[in-house]
Amino acid sequence: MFRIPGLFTPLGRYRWPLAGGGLLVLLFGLLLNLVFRPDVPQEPVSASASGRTGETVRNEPLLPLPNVPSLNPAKVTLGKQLFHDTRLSKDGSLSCASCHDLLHGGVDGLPHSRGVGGAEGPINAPTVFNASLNFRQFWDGRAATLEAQAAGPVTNPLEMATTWPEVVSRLKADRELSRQFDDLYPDGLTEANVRSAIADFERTLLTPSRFDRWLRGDELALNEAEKQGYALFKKHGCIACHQGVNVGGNLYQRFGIMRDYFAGKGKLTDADLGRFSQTQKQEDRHLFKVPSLRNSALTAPYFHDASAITLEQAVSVMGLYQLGVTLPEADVKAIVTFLHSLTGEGLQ
Amino acid sequence: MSELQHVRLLRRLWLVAGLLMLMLVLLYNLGNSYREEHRLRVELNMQEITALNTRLHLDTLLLRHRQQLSYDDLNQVAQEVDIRLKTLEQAFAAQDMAPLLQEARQQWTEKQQNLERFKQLNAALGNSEYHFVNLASDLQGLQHRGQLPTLKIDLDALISSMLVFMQRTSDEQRPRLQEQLEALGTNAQPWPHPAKEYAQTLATHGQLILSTQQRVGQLVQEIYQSPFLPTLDKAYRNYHQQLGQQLERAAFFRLLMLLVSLLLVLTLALIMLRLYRTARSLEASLDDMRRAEARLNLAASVFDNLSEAMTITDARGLIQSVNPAFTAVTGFSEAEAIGHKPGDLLASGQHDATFYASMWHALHTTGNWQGEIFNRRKNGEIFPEWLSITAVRNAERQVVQYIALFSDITERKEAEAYIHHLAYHDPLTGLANRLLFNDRLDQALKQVHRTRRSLAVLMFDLDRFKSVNDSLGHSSGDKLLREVAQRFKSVIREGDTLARLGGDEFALLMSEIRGQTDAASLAASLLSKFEKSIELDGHEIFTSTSIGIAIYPQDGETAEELIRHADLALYAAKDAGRAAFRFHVPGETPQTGIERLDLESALRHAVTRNQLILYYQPQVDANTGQILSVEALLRWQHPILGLVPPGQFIPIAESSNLINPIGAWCLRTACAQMVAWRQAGIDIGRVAVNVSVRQLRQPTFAADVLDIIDETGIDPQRLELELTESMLSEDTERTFHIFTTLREHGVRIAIDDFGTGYSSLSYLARYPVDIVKIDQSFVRGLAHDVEARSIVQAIILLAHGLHMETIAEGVETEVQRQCLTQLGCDSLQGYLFARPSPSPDLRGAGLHEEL
Repeated sequence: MFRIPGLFTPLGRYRWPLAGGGLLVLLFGLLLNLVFRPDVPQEPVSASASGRTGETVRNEPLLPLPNVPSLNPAKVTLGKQLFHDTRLSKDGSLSCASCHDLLHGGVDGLPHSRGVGGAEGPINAPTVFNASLNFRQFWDGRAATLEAQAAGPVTNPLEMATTWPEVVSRLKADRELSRQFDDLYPDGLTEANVRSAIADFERTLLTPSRFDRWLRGDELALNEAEKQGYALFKKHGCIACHQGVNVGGNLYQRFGIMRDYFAGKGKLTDADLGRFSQTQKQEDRHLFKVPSLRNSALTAPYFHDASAITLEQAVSVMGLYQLGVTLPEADVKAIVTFLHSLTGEGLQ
Repeated sequence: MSELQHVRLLRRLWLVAGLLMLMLVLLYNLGNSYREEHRLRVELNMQEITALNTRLHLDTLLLRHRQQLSYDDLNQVAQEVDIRLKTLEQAFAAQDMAPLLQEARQQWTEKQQNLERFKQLNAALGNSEYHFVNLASDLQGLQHRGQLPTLKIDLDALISSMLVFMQRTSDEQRPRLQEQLEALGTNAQPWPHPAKEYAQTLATHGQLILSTQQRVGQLVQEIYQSPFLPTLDKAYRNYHQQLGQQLERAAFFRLLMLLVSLLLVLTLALIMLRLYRTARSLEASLDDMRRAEARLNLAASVFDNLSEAMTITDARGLIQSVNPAFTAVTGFSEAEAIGHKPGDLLASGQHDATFYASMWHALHTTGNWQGEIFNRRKNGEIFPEWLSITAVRNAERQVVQYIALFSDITERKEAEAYIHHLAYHDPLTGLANRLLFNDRLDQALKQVHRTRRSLAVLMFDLDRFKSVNDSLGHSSGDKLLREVAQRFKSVIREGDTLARLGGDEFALLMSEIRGQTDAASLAASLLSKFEKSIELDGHEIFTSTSIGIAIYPQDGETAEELIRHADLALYAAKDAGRAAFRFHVPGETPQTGIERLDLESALRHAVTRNQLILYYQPQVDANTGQILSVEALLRWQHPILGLVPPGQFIPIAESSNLINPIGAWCLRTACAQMVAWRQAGIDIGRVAVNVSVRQLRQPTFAADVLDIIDETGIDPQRLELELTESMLSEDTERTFHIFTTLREHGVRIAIDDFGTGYSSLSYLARYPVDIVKIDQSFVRGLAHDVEARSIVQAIILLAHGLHMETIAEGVETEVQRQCLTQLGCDSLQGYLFARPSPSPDLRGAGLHEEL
């Protein structure tokens, strides 16, 4: 139609040899480029300190909760589903939510959690709320990440009492679930991905409180009693350990700095050894991760051994053993009042 | 270069190209083991870790000196270092240099443990320092106000020493301070509240400070002096060193790659060139192949569609291929034929060994042979074929194949036979023709000459066939001939040859006879075949034959003689009154031996040369004997032949159209004679003139007759026209019209030869006829034949009934005259009264009457 006579026709039978030749020239050019491309700099660039980026509205040892991180919503939904999935336990009787009841402060309210077949766990279950802000997981800090934490209870014979291969095969039987995993993860349904999904879900479980609002500048967010309680909290020295964004949860500390807590306790359990069971160092005996005080009003009983039934008791025990003082009753009450302001709004 | 070499070379080139490609891939992998992004990642993370480490130290210091109260920052920085370190480990592992980082990892773990310990102890220490300062001021307040009981130690000195210790740790001071703090605790036992609590708590905090202070300081030192970063730096330098080596190697491989790829390009170029050339030669040979294929297709198509059978054999003569026409002709399928010799399949056994030997000789010498050969079909049928064999030779002139082409010529043979038959047979009757007859006669003569036996030649024709042909038309004549031929065939013997020589002329060759009787009996059977009438287009026709017979050897030794003599015998038979056979009688034959053809040409001249003359025969009244009239009878006076009888030349005249001028001449002469006689005073009632059927057929016949009457001046009432009976059956309306016209002028009409023809008496009633002439054959039998007598009587009675007169001809005896007179015949004619004469004695006749 619009073919220009003489433009293509002379090529005619020489079309393929010409095309082949052109291709060869192109190939040759590419090779030249590959061989003689500029070399990368050989010497390392000297290191330089980067600026600090911190955002604190009030210059306080406590920091407001960060926003919920932006995660793949589908993975979060999947994690939530798995969090409530009883197939993660041996006999299908328990899910993560069984001990970390999201309607009850992320705990079961029991001194020691109940495992499969009514087995009694060794330790008081910490809350799942804001757990992502803890620098380590478990009382003894044996898990560095939420993913690592999720592995523990599943295989603990006193808790869910199963094995990961079993869990994975049980979940794989669920076509729909398998398909969801296939859609979200390149390698589909695996132990690591199950844990990752659950951890992602847990990262969304942050509970902003009135105290956070106060920290961000809302003077009316706290009443005077609470402010007074906070002042006492700092004055008595609680703040030495319970600081930072999670009001604790960012270092290990000995239970009984000023006075030997375990001396009067009688028979000690493995749990009482604390971090020692991980490191086998004498220095680490009775060292525990300092728990977060957020939502502490909802997470009774307290301490790893659930020895404090009420928050007042816990505050008094802390004053006695950690600070070396018998806190006046009024002060205890004031501190407890303050602690209530750390409860996530909407959780009460 | 041959094509095979082409292909081999190409294959080798492709192999080389493939090997080069493999080498390229290998070299690419080797040259690319170094990855820029790995290096960049390592570098970035190194920078980050260095920065983070600094931040870590700073945070530690800030925490130690209560400039920072939250451990979150420290944790975050430590966690980030951990993550970066892991990233580094992955990057190193990717370059197979993971071991370089092992030491750094170990040192980082130690540093982390130190950090954790620092956090723990620093938190407690900070708390104690804070409380110690507060409690010290509280206690000093109480002391100043004198509310403290007795003190065994110097409280102020202790506090200030502690504060100094808190600023600068001193191992020397520690035991003394410990003692003093213990002393304070013990001292305070009895103190009142709150002094007791203040002092004891202060002592506890002080003890904790003493025990922890140094450790915290050490930890900070250890954190600061951790070899982690230098080790990491060292690992990084090692990494770079190895990286440099890798880069050098990669550069080397890339150079190799360049060389290999140049080789590859060269090889590919060679392949292209080779392919291009191959393509061109292929294109050329493809064209050749297409042409050859088209030729082959054409050949195959010709082979398959050829109407002639084709056989291809190898040099040994075994069939390789046959075409469909072969199967159609021979009945053998290709599968049945292949591998056999054509001779084994088809040989008919009709040819001897010499035949085949000469065939092969021709094939070996000239390369081809053709000829007619008889073969046998699958069904056993033997058929003639026209076979053409060609030897196919290769370049070395050796025979490689034979191609045989043949066609079934059965049909051709049949056509030939048919043509032969046509040539030797009469198409109308299927009988032999003159040629075949002569041939057979010659053959038979040779045979009988040897065997000294006899044979007979019979010549015969149909009596009055001309009349039939003229009156009923030629197609009827043809049918008559066919019917007659059938009848003849039914009586002849096997081995005899019956032929139609032309017209109604037949001949029969009896190739072997014992004697005259054989011929006679056969002739009699032939004659008897005419006793039954022949049904022809609705007419019932009676006809007869006359037969002339000549016997070998007495009647002639040659074919010509025998035929001529048989012919003469035929004429004799006809002359003798037809429906009879005659043997040749030597004496009877005119020495000259006239041929009909000669007679005809002679007759042509007869009219102009005045060789024709009219004889007159009187006709007398049966009762009175008075001459009533004369009949004019035509005679031919030939100068050599003498007087030729009318039975011989009239048929010739009729068949040659001479009859018209002859007839006209007769009429005119007779009329003129009549007028002359009147003028001479001889009174004769009438003159009767014979008219041929051909004359009557002339459209102007009636007018011609009237013209002659006017011309001669004869009284029409004195003219009588004699017509034969057969005319009555022809074109009756016209004949009726002619008769009517002539009678109106007074001319009388007579029917000649009545009773011999095929017309029945009833015809007579339809025509205006004046007189009926009874044939002499009846007259002859009158005396002794009762049947003849009754016929004559019937004719006379019928004629009278129709108001016609009767006349009898050929009256020769007195008995006949009396008989006829008795029967009531009106007139008589015959030798009894007068012979025909050019100048009859008319008076004599009258005298006789008077007698």
